[in-house]
Amino acid sequence: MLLKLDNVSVQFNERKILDRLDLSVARGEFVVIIGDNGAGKSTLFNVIAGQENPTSGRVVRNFLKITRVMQDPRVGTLGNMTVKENLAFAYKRESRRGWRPCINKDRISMFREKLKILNMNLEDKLNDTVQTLSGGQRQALAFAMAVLVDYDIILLDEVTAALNPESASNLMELINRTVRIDQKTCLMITHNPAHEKYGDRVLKLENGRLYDAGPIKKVK
Amino acid sequence: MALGNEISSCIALGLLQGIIGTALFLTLRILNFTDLTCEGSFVLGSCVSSILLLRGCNVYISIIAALFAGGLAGLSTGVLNIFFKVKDILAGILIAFMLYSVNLRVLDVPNITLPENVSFGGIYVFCFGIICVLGYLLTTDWGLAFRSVGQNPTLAVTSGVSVKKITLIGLALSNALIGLSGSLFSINQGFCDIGSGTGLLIVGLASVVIGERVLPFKSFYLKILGCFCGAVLYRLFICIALNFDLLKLRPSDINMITGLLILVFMSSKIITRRRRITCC
Ligand SMILES: Nc1ncnc2c1ncn2[C@@H]1O[C@H](COP(=O)(O)OP(=O)(O)OP(=O)(O)O)[C@@H](O)[C@H]1O
Ligand SMILES: [Mg+2]
Repeated sequence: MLLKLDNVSVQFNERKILDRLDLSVARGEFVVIIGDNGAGKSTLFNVIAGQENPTSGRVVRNFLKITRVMQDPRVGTLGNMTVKENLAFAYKRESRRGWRPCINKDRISMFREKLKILNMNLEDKLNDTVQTLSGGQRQALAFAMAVLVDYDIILLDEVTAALNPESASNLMELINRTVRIDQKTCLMITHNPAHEKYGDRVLKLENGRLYDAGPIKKVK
Repeated sequence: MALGNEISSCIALGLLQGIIGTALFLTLRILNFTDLTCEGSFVLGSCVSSILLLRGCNVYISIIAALFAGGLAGLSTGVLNIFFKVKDILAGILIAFMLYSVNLRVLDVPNITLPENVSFGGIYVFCFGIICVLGYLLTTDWGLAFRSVGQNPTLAVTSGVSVKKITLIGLALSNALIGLSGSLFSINQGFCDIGSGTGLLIVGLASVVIGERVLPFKSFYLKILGCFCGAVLYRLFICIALNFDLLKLRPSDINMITGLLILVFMSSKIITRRRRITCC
C-alpha cells in the first residue's frame, strides 16, 4: 500500500469531522472522493499531506513526494508574481533552491511547452502577473505547477470547479492522461458526477467515514 | 557654494536613509513582516561602530561590527516572533525598547564625538553594492522562495520552503542593513547620539512609498534603486522646504511635512489606481 489511514479521527472544537476513518490506496490507483460541502474532504487531504495532525489514528505514507492542487487557486499560486516565476518556484519544489537566476531560456521554453498542453492560452501569458489571470486560468496554472516536477502521489481538490464545462473536461482529460501515462497515484475530490468515471473507484465521505459509492463506468 | 554643500550633504543623508528604506522594503513589502526593530538597530549599529572607532579601531571593521550587531537585533525579533509566538509588531517594539538599554551600555554616555580623522567616502559604493546584490538575490531560485514566504506562506510550506528560516534570515539581513546605515550615519556626522533613531521608521517608510511612485517598475533592481531615490528626494524636499523663508517653517515642522508627504504619495497611488479601473 502506498498510503494507509488507520482509524483516523479529526476533531475541531468537539466536532468530529473525520471519525475513525480507514483508507488504503495502492500505487497507481486513481481514487475519486465525493461528499457534501463540509463533509471533511479537504480536511482528509490535509491529513494525508501532513498539514493537519489527526486527533487519533495512524497515517502510513509509503511515498516520498506528494503534490497537491488546493481547492482555492489563490492558495495554490503566488498572486503577485508572474506566471513564469510561479512555474520556476514550483520547478524547485523537490530540489535545493540555489543562487542561480530563476528564469533562463531553457526554463522558459520548457514552461511554454507545459502550458501549451493545458490549452488555456497560458503560454502567451508567461510575463503576466498571476493576479490578472482569470480564476480558471489560475486553477489550471496551479495544476501545471503541481505536476511540473516528479511526484509519487497527487491530491486534486476540485480542480475543475472554476472552469466552464468545456475547459473542465479538457483539463480532466489532461489530468487523466498525465496521471495514467506516468502511472501516478491520484486522489481527486469532485462535485461533478461526470468526472467520477475517471476513477478506479469512487468513495463517498459521509459522517466522517468513507463508503464505497458503487461501481462506475470505466473509461479507457 | 553653501547651497552646493547643503545639497551634497542632503544626498549623502538621503543615501543612508535609502539603506533604511531598502531594509524596510525587504521586511514590510517582501516578507510581509511589520518589523519595528529599526529605530533600535539603527542606534545599535551607530553605537557599536562609534565605540570601536573611539578605541582606535579600523573604519571597515567598525562598519562590519555594526552590520553584525544589527543583524543580531533582527534575529532576536525573529526569534521572539517565531519561537515565542509574539506578534511581529510587538516583537519589534519590544526588541527596540530593550535595545535602548543595550545601546546605553555600549556607549556608556548619551552621546560621543568621533575622532576628527575618521572619515569614510565609500557610501556611494556601498549603496550601489546593495542595489546590485539584493536585486540579483531576489531574482534567484532562493529569492523566489524568499518572496513566496511573504506572499503565500501556505504554498511556501507545501513547496518545501522553510518559512521560519527565511523569516529569520530576512529580519537579520534587513536589520544588518539598518545597523550599517547607523554606523555610516555616525561616521558621516562625526558623532553618535543615543536618540538619533527617533522617527527613522517613518522616514524609511517615506523612502519606500516615494520610491514606489517615482520608479513603479517590476524589476527588483529598480525597486531597490527606488528606495534610494525616494530617500534622496525626500531629503531634498525637506531641505528646500526648510530653507524656503516664505513658509517660515521650523525644524520641528518636519514631522508634519513627512506625514503629509507619505499621505500624499500613498493616496495618489490609490487615486491613479481607481482611475485606471474606471476608464477601462
Ligand atoms: N481549521 C479548522 N478549524 C475548525 N474547523 C474547521 C477547520 N478546518 C475545517 N473545519 C471544518 O471542518 C468541516 C469540513 O471542512 P472541509 O473543508 O474539509 O470540507 P469539504 O468537504 O472540503 O467541503 P467543500 O466541498 O465545501 O470543500 C467544515 O465544517 C469546516 O468548518
Ligand atoms: Mg473542500
